Amino acid sequence: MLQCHIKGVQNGYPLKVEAEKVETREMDFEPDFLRHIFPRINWPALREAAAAMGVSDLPESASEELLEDDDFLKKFHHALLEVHLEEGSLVCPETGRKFPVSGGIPNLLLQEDEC
Amino acid sequence: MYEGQLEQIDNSLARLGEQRAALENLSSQAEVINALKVGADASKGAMKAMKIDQVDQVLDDINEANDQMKQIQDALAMPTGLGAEMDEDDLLQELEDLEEEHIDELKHEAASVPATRIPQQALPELPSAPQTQAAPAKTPEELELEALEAEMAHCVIWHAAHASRQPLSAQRHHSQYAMGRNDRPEITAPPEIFYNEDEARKYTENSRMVAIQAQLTERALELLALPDDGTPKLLLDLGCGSGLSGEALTERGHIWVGLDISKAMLDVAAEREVEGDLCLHDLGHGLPIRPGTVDGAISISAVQWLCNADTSKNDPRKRLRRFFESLYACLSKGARAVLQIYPANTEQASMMTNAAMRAGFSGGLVVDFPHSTRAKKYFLVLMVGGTAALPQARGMDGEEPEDEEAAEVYVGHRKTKRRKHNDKGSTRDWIVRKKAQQRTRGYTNIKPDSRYTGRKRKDRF
Repeated sequence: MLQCHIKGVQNGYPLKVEAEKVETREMDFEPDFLRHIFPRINWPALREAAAAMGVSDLPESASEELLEDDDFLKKFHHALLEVHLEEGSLVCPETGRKFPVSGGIPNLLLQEDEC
Repeated sequence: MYEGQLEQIDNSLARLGEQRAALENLSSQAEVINALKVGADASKGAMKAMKIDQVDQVLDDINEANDQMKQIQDALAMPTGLGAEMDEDDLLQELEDLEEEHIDELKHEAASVPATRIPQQALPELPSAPQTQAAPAKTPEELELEALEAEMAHCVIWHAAHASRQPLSAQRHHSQYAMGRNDRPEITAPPEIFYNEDEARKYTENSRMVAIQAQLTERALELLALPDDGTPKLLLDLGCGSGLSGEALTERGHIWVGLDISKAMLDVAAEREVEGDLCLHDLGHGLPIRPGTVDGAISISAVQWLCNADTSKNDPRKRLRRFFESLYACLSKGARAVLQIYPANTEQASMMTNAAMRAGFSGGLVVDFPHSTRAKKYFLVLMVGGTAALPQARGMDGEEPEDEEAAEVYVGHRKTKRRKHNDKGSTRDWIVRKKAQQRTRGYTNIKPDSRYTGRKRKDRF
């Protein structure tokens, strides 16, 4: 789920995570993919979101050099792909609009006047 | 004096022509009646033969005979159409004949010659109703065959008359038929309502659907032409539904995010534990994805739902615009989006293509198996930046029509730029500007600008 809300923008970014239930699912470790996706990740946002879901071992800042470090990649992988938000909500930092997440599926539907 | 004679001859010719037309009408009607007779006879004969054998078969036959009668009656009920259909050809023929005769007559300078000649020409054209005389001697089977033949002939004529009468509706009907989509789910209900729990389960458990979805996804991936460097890519699955298409992406090792409007479908997907991340979202509201983040997008049989105007607030044009603009934004440079669509008609296809082009995409429509009704599939291949050629479509027996089609839809980058705003423009400038604005917004019913645009009416109004 992390992918999605990390990238969610309506009127503001990043969406804050309010976690009630977090689940961890194993995923195949793909260093290539991580290196590929890294430039597009807003690191502070990911860190904040991960922290909200109880993953707090991500370093303060990250750079390209760290991508060669296996240890870092593992953590990155875990935070990005393995931690899933099952129940909770995503909150827009600008408007305070809450998008409920249930069963791992965030409800991003808008009212007609909101878009 | 010669002129007077000429006029007389002309008049008599015209009269003869009229008579001939009337005779032809009569003869055709006679043929119709003959066919009717034959049909009735045949049905009678068949019924006689069958009565002895089996009762239910006779019942069937009666039904059939009734149908036959109905069709014949239909055919009979359309004498004007029949006449109108014949008239045009006949008139042309007559005109030619008359011209020929006129020349002949001028050559011979004799008044009596054409008068004797025309009946000779006209007479052989009278059909000599052949079937009725021979009919009684034939066996019931032959009779039936004949009746069927006659019936078929009538059907053809009737159909032709009908088609010429209502070309527009017939065409529309035909195009719809050609797409094999008389049962479009799009026209029954909005997607979030149509794909309820039952429908979602049915959809996912239907092995045919699964096969089609997998096949389409394969093809979409092929058209997506991702660089083959072994790195998994982040893809979007727009209208992912129960994740059938996503599974094919997972198989290829890609990470994907699926968006769909139907909660029930997503629940099924979650139940099936698909690998991708799922979001409940309306594509028509734009995509909630950060700009430039995804490597490609696919969509299987989903985007045509955006063309629905199921509530008063739903403007398909607006929804398509929001969708394509946000899609354009969230794709990274050089990425592609392949949207497999089922357009209801060509207008819908061009509406979607135009909306995409307006958002800045280049690309166009690739039609696979354009000559087949069932296997025909539309893929909207959209590219961000770059001017790569459109991929080849599949299953083209005849190369030309497909090329034409592709060339026709290919639009490249948006060319119309908004005109510079001029505060002190005349009324006409204002009108022209507004019209251009409307056009860029995708309205198609804007009249072209001409020298009459914005011109004052004359005083008399």
